[in-house]
This record gives sequence, structure tokens and C-alpha cells, in this order.
Amino acid sequence: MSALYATGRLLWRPAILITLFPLALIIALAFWDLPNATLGAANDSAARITLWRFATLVPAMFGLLLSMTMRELQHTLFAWTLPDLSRRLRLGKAVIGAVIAAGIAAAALPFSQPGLSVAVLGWSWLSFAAGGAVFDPVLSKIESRGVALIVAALAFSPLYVQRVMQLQPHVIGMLAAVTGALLMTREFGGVLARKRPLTFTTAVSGTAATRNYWAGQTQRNVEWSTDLSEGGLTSWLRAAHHEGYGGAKAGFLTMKLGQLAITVFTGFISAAPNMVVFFPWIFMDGRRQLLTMLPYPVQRSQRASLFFLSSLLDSLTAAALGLTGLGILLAAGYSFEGTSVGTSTIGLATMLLSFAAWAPVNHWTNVRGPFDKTMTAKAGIKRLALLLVYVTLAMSPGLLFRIFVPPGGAAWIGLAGFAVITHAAYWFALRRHFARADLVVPR
Amino acid sequence: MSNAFEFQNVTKRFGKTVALDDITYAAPRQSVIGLIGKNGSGKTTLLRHVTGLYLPTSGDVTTFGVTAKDLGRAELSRIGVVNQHDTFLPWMRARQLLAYVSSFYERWDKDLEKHLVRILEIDTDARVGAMSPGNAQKLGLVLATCHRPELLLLDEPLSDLDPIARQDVLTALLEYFRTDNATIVISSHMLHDIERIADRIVCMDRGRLVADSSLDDLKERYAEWWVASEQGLLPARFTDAFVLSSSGNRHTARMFVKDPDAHVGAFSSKYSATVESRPLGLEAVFRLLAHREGTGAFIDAGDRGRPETEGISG
Repeated sequence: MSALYATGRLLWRPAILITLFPLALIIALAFWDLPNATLGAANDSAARITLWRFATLVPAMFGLLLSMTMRELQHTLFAWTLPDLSRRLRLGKAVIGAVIAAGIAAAALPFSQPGLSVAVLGWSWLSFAAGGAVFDPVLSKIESRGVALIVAALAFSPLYVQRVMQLQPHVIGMLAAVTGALLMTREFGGVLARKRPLTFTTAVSGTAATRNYWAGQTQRNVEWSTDLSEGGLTSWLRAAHHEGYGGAKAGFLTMKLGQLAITVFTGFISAAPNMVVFFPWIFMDGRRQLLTMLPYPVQRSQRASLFFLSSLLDSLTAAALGLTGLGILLAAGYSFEGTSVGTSTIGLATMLLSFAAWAPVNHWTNVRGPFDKTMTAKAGIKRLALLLVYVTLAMSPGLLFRIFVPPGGAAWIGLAGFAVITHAAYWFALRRHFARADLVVPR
Repeated sequence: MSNAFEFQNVTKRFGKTVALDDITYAAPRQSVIGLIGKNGSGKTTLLRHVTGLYLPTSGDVTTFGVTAKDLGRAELSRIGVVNQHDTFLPWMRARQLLAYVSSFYERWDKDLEKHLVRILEIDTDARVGAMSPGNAQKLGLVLATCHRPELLLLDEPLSDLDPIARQDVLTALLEYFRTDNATIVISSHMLHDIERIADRIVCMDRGRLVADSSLDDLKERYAEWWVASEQGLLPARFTDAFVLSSSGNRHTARMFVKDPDAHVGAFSSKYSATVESRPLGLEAVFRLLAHREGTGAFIDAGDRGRPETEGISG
């Protein structure tokens, strides 16, 4: 009990709330892209497919998050002096993993015979352990990427997992559980612990690890030539773009092309057009901002305008990526099953308009992004709530279709009006924020 | 001549923490102001108000006569700032960052840039993210000064520098000040360094201003006395208000006093004692100003005409 308490207490911090976002996203994705799945109408086979994806992604994500946080705790000079920390963390993590796996296995009972639940239990446990191994610093880049790829591939291929599991559910479930236990033992092994760097090696500004990282980087040499001394908003927008994306190894366009490829791939796998249109909105990162504490000769009100324009550019880029991705799939002759509405002009416009209407909610979560180094519990909950609202609403075009297909004039006007209202509210919120708030957070 | 910046009854709260407590202060132009105080006394918070990064919870801050929240291109381009741990854009090379920041300003003294880069030995081909904290701090100094700002705010600019580099930076600062007559505010715990360049001292403690005076006045206002009894015994405890702290025995005593010149004659007569007065360095004065937790407000307004409210008693 004390091990579990120690783990929980050490892991708890308000900022961890934000990690629930990817978790929520994964849970949503697990149910999302089944072509015929609708709320309350999932057939047995669809439910099973969802179940296996769920049993892979959710524990893996939990395992990953726990390991990242535990590593931070284990490999600091302070933690080095704490007695028995590693054992307590291992035991705590094992208990958390077991609870998650048992929960998923219990959830699986209605959809499978009892034997298969054992397989789900073992599989969830293995996924939990594999998630923890993804970012193990002892693994080489190739090894850790290999683990990540396997987890992702299995998550995207639930049918294969199900077929293999059905061969010998008990045996394979047990094998998975043992493999998971071995992985976790290895993660906390003493020999490996000594091989890991003693101090945490993530990007803490000014540390030797960070300096070595940047010294080894081969960024493109992007030269800046625009004169900002008389610069208007457009010039400063370019400066913000330069700050946010100038350091990207391959450049902004290549980065977006990569995201387009992922979008197309996701559409291909999921067979859902709304997935293609939605996916690029996940990539909105709000990086096009003035990121440092340099005394930019820019008035606060101008900063608000800059932020607004940057957000609009993010939205437009996401919309363009989604449409291009869909265009590529359709041009390649890919047919989406039973979703003619989704690929019709009206359907696409409705989806885009609904995403655009909710985009300011997502942008707002970035308002303090570059500045906010700390996070209180209140701020964490607020941000999480905003994100969940956005995800829930943005991912429900299926529901919109039920209401609006074929969308009548009133629905269109309503949606467009709603988009205008959300953007106007965002604009006023930004003006208010930049007029009143501190631009940096105290250390 | 108007002041470089002014604080009028400024209070800043972060949640329940009062970072600045009813600060009223005006920074005269063309002066080098040493901002001193213990950790967490509010020095950084004060400086961030000057550039408008922070806004006061109550009160008014004006820089070059403009309210902090309304500072625009005209005012901000006249300010240079070095932060203690500046986070620049790590992916840029130093020369790229210099080129980028120089584009913000109408005037950028390329010769000064070359001069500072040379004397501070900055490798302009190095990635900013790969620089040691000391080199990053030196780069920050170049970025903050080459547009020849009228107001230069230096928040712990020497903390990551070795003694030689500190010497170079201070020399560069002095050169700069002599040339441009700028207003420089330098916050640092390196009091010996501050003593070499500052002509005014502002001391903060727990969000309050506890001293604002010229360096010379401040040093004249305090002294260390070595007291020897000529006749009879010294008292077990000195209750005189100007005696800030004392130690010793009934025959000799060492004490720190305020306004020594005003009291030395009367003190000698009162206790039939000889007094040897020794001047104090800034560090010793700072100890006197700062070592008074729980004793209430002690305002040394110096020549700015504010009343003293309470002394320090040993």
C-alpha cells in the first residue's frame, strides 16, 4: 500500500492533468474510425475490433506516461539518495498496470467469451509494459522506435491481434503477461539503472545535455533579412513564423507534407472521410508566436492581433491539409464505405465549418503556451476541460450529419453564425488577455 | 528632465504572495542604479514591470512617461534587457540571432556589436542552445546594448560569468555608459561589482523599498565603530536608536551605527569612550539593510526626503 501511495504521491502534479488529453484522444480514436459504428449501435464484431485497439493503446499510453514521469524521479541527484525508491516505484507501477489491465479485461467480458478475457488481460498488461519501454534511454533510437512502431501497428490492426488471440487465448494471454512482466523488470533493473544518465535529460535550458543536443544538431541555416523596425503585423507574423518553424530540421513545408502523409494514411486505414478532414486539426501547435522574452518593440494590442492572425493561419492550414488529403484519396480511387455524404461538397463544408467554429477553443489553450512554464491545478483542469470539450465536439460530425444532412439553409446559417461568434469571442478574449495579463510567469 | 521610469504605489500579487508592496520610486535618467536585495525580494519583478512584461495589481508604472501596458515601438526600442537566464531561440547560431534581433531596431551599432563580440570572446558560429550559461549571458548583453538603448535593465547579468568575464562585462558597461549617458539598472548579488559601477543604490526587501540613495551617501550614512571605555564601564546594551547592532564586553565594543557623524561627539561624552569610526563597504551596508527580518519597516530614503520609521537594533 505504501508503495502505491508513494508512487501516486510522487507522480501527482497538476501538470499531469494535461497528459490526460492524449489519453482522451486515444480512447476517442478507439471508438472513432469504425466505418459503421454509431453511438449505441456498434455490432458485435465492431465492438471487438474496438476492444483490441482499446486494449493496446490505452495501457500503452498509461505505461508511457508513467515511465516518463518515473524516470524524471529516478534519475535525479536528489532521488539517488532516497532509500528504496526504485523498488517502491516498480511495485506501484505494477499495481497500476494490473488495475488498468483488469479493468479493460472486465470491460471486455460482455463482448467475448471468458477465455478471451484472459487474453485481453495479458495483452493489456503487455501493452502497458511496452508503452513504458518506448522511451527508455538505454534503448537505442532504432530499438525504441521499433517498439513504438510495433505498438502503433498492432493498435491499427486490431483484427490481426484478435485472430492471433483466438487461436489459444489462455496460452497467448499468459505468454503476453510474462513478456510484460519481463519488460517491466528490465525497466527497473539495477544494471540498466546505472547505465542511464543520473540526471534527467529532457530539454532543460542550459544543462549539459541540452547543450550537447544543440551542438550536434544540423539545422538548416535560415537567414533572416526582413527589416522589422518599421514592421507592421505581416512582418511580425513572418518573424513569429521564423521563430516557431525556422528551427525545424526539414522546414515548415516538409513538416506539413509529412502531416499530410499521416493524414492520408489515417484516412486509408480508417476508411472514414471525416477522419481525414479532422486529423490535421490535431497538428495545430500554435508555434507561430514570439517565443522569447526579448523586448520586442511590439505593443500588447499588436501582440493580441498577431496571436489572432496566427491562429487563423493554423486553422486555414489544417483545413487545407484535410481537403488535400481527402482529394488525394479520392483521386487515387479510394472509396469510403457507406459515407457518400461525407465526401459530398455539402458534407465536407459542414464538417469544415463545424471544426472551424470550434477551433478558437483549441487556440485559446495555446494563449499562455510559450510563456506558461508552471501550471496550477486550477489551470490544468481548465485547460483539460477546454480540450475535452473541443475533442468531443469536433469529433462529432457524425452527430451533426444526423441533424443536418442534408443541411438546410437554416443549419448553414446557424453554423456560419456560430463560427463568427466563436471567432469574435476569441478576438475579444485575446484583446482582454493581452491588455491585462503578465506575459511571463514567475519562476 | 523626466525620469526613466516611475512606480507610483505599485503592488504586485501572485496569488497570495505579495511580490511588490506599495512601491513608489523614480529612476533618474543618466544614472547607474544598483538594485540589491535578498533572493525573492522583488528585484526581477520590479524590472519586469518596467518593460511591461508584468502589469501591476494596483498602482501605476510608467516608462519614458508611458504606462507600462501601453508601451509601444517608440518606447520599447529604447530599452535593452538582459535577463538572468535568458531563453533565446536555441536553434539559431549566435550570428543569426544577432541579425534577427538587429532587425527589430532602426539603429543598430554594428561596430559596437563587433567590439563586444570580440572583447567578450563570443563564438558567433555556435548554436545558441549549445552555449554555456556564461556565454549565453554575454550574448544577451550584446543583444541588449547594440541598439544603444536609453534604458538598460540588467537582471543578474554577471551571475554565470567567471571573474575575468565579469571584469570584461563591467568594463564594457562603463564604456557604454560614458559614451551614451544611458540609464542603467543592474540587479546583482555581486556587490563588489555593483559598487564599482553604480552611483545610486536601491535596496529591496520582501517587496518593499528599504533604501534609495546615492552610493556615497549610503556609505557615509553607516559606519562601523570600535568603542573603548576611558572611564567606567560600557552599558550591557546600547539603547541609542542610531546603534543598529553591537557586540563586545563592558570595556570595548564593536557596533554598526547610522548617521555616525551626527552622533559621534555626543556618544563619546555620554559613555566616556573613545570611538574609532571605520567606513563600510556596500556589502556590509547591505547586511545592515537586509538583516532585519521581523523588525518592521526600516526605510532609508536617503536624499529623497522620505522619513525613517524605525531603526535596527542589535
